[in-house]
Amino acid sequence: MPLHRRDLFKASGAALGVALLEGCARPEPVYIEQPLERSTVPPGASLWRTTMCGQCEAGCGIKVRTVDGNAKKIEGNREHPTSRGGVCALGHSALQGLYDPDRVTMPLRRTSPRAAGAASGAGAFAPASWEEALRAVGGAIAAARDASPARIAAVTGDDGVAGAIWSRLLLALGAPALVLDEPFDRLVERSAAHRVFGVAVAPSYDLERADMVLGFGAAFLDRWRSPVAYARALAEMRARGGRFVHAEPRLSLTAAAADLWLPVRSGTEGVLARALAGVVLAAGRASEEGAARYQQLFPVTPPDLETAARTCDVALARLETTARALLAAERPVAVAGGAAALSRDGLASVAAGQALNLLFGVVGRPGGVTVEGGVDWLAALAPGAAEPEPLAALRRRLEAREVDVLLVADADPLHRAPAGWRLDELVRGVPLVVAITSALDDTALEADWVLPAQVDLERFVVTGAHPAVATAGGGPVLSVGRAAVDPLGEARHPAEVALALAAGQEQLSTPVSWQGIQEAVVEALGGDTRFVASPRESRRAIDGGARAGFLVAAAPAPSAGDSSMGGEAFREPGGTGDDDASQPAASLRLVPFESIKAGDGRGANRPWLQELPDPLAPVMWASWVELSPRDAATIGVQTGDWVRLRVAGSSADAATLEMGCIVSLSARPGTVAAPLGHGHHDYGRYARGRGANLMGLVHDEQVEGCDAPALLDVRVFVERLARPPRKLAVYGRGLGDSEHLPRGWGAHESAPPARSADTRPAAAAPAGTEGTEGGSR
Amino acid sequence: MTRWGMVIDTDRCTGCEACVVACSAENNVPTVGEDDAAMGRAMHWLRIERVVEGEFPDTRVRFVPVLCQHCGAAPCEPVCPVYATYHNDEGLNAMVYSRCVGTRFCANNCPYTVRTFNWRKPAWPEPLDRQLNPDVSVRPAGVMEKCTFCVQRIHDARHEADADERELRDGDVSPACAQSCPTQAIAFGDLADPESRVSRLARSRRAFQLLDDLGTAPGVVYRRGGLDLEETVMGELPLPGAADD
Repeated sequence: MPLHRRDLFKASGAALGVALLEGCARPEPVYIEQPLERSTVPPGASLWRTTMCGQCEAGCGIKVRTVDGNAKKIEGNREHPTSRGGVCALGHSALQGLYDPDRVTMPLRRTSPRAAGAASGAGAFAPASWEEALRAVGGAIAAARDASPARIAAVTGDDGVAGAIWSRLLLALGAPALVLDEPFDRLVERSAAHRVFGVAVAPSYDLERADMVLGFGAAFLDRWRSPVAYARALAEMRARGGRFVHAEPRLSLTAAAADLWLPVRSGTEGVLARALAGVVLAAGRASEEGAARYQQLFPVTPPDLETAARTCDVALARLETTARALLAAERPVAVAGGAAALSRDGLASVAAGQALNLLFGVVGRPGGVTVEGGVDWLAALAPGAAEPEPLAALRRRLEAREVDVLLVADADPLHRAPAGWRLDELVRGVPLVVAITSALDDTALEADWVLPAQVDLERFVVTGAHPAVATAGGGPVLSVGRAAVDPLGEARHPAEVALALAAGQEQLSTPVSWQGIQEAVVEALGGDTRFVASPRESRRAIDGGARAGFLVAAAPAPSAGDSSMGGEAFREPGGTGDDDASQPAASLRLVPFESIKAGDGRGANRPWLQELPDPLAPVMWASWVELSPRDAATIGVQTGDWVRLRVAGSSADAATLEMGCIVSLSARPGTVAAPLGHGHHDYGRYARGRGANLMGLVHDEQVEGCDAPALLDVRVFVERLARPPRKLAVYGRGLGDSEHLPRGWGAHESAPPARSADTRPAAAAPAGTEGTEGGSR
Repeated sequence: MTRWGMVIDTDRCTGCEACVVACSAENNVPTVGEDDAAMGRAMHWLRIERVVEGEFPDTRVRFVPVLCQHCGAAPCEPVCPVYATYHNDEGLNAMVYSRCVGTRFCANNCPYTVRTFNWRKPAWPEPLDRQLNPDVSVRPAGVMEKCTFCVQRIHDARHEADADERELRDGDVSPACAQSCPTQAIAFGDLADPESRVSRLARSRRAFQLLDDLGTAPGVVYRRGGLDLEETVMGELPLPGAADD
């Protein structure tokens, strides 16, 4: 049939009509999800987008400079109530996580079988489409449901909206509770807070308005909760004459910033806290109510300072100084967590630290501690769902072979779990493993499907900002982040994947029918009167929050917790034996820590962070151990050497790790400190095989009464590597010379430049001018 | 006449190195990889120096951010045979990358060891290059580079002030390091203006300059760090920040 011109017009008119009608039927786009204003910005001009940093739980406010749709720079949002314009090194490096050359940008299907020691990297996968991926995963979930829904497991590191959406999916499938892959010490902190304050929330601390801060293991200037907000608050406190005393086995950045560092033996922070409590009680400085509550938690008479000095192995004079300063202070606050939480005694130690605040009478007060949570996403979005379980619960389920489908989103449990848990072997026994991630992390390497996840700069995110109340001067703060750039490749929001998986399932017990994550947020916030006056205003409030980067709750009164709840008494913290005679001779106690370079491991794929010299042990592109000069001499190593770490008491074939060696004047003799977060099997070209994962040395040590590994109870042998794998990259520029360290190290360990007269370089040339160490010379 | 300068409060500095990464992001500072880094060729324009006093358990560590001091009498300037490094009329010790022939005399003469040299062509594998700042040129192999006090941000602020038909105000310019500092340990501004924030901060008993006895007239002023609690029990001595501002 010949086609006439008029017919063609008719046909195209009809098609246009259909298209227009379709356009009308589409739901109105939600403002907060849309990449904004692009059309109005000329090519090459900058557009600053207000959003939040999603690199850690802190939720700092940031502005992202974009040019032609590319993110160029991250700067702090000065209006944000907690971070107030600050950004940390990890936050800045999010740009390189976004543009990682080895990012997962499309769904990947495993093509070669999973096998022990394979660590086969990207070669084991072939690209696939989202349709294929969702069909395969959805089919496996449906099959598992038919057999037994209890055989479905999901793990995420997101305890906010996304976590609640995963919980809702699991609830609808009839599967067990979500597994939350959170910092291990936070688990301990929450358990302690549950009994001390009556609320199972990691407390936040108002350092700014305190006049003395006592730290127990919590390295809040390094990588703990909200380093940016705490650094700012501490600086303000000190500028007004406040004091800071910090107890930690390692001289961290936090300990270095303290007026007085108490270099306690690992695991004895609790004894110190108890002794200081004794001082406060004896001086009659505690309120009757506070003292009664405290003694309910710790019924035994506290140790005296002398006993504590012996147990902690700290000079008595320092403890006395601390005690005097404490008694002179009007608003002291005690911050406990981090290293204090992760020894066998961790729960009692952290509780002893937290409970000091009961004696100080600063719970729920300005300059004190607050235990109010942000929005209860779980209650709002998944009512009836069980509370998330710790990673150890997944281990138990895997060991009992109770998992057929394992979904992992925004988490890398295989990197973070102790090697003794054998999660890698156990996961290999699961028929279907799905990792939703932006990079090929250790968990993704064991997955059947790797699905590309958006990074924080591509997402819509809402999270509680820590410390929630402390610096806001009002109610809790929610950080709100919207996409600053379009997603790279086919990356999707992990929570949207959960929604897509739910949409593919039939006969769910409860509907999971939000159109997107923003709709879930609108629904959840609509029910929280602290943030939104009525449910109808929820969308507008979130739009406003997205524009500002945050939402502040209207209700000003911070919660003091529910101290009427019968907190069960804690066992008396005794300190775990450091130089216990029963320990193998010549073994050293491991002191793992999160460095500013890699955090919990997520920073390892960023060249800026890899090449960043650690401020205390300036190693680049490798992980390292910090040894005292005494131990280094015994072992026969010096800075720049390579060492091998082996677990004390283990068999010869046990895992060993190879790391660089730094001899540090601040290192506690008898300990070997080393950073976590290194030693990925893949994770892109900048992380692959760099450094060693300390969790490889951790077996079954457990925090008493908590599902967390006792990382600080590991003892290791350190030996010199006769054949170093390569030259250790130690940053060598500096102003002075040093007698203690090899040439080119450069730091004036003996001659501080604090006075201008002292800053003259040693008679010869400044360090770094000779040999190859001099760099640009 | 403006004299750009910086005041760094070492009592506020926690050594978090946010400034170092912020600087690399702003100024397209390349990373060189492990082998070159081990040879001392890392390119950071800003470093955190650690000052360690005493052995365990009496160790004190302080951090001193060290960057180009933008000296008034810069030892690096007169030795450049091609005038690639020069002094501008606002006190900046500036570089013309396209003039540099790579003699490295300037680095040899810098007592602060803050100049870095591009031993190789810098590389940003795709899509890392999408992050590069279009306002800052990428330096080729064989060229010296160093901190510019974020001169592009000074220009930006000035253009903005011009557009608003006003003078540049104190606080309008903030280099990347100062902008990102969580504790606001770094202040930037006009040292020639006695009322500017930097001038006020620089007039402190705590103020000192690095190697100032060399006569370099640095444009960076430091404020000395905190006092030891054991020496100042009960606040008998003045505390940092409280008394002397």
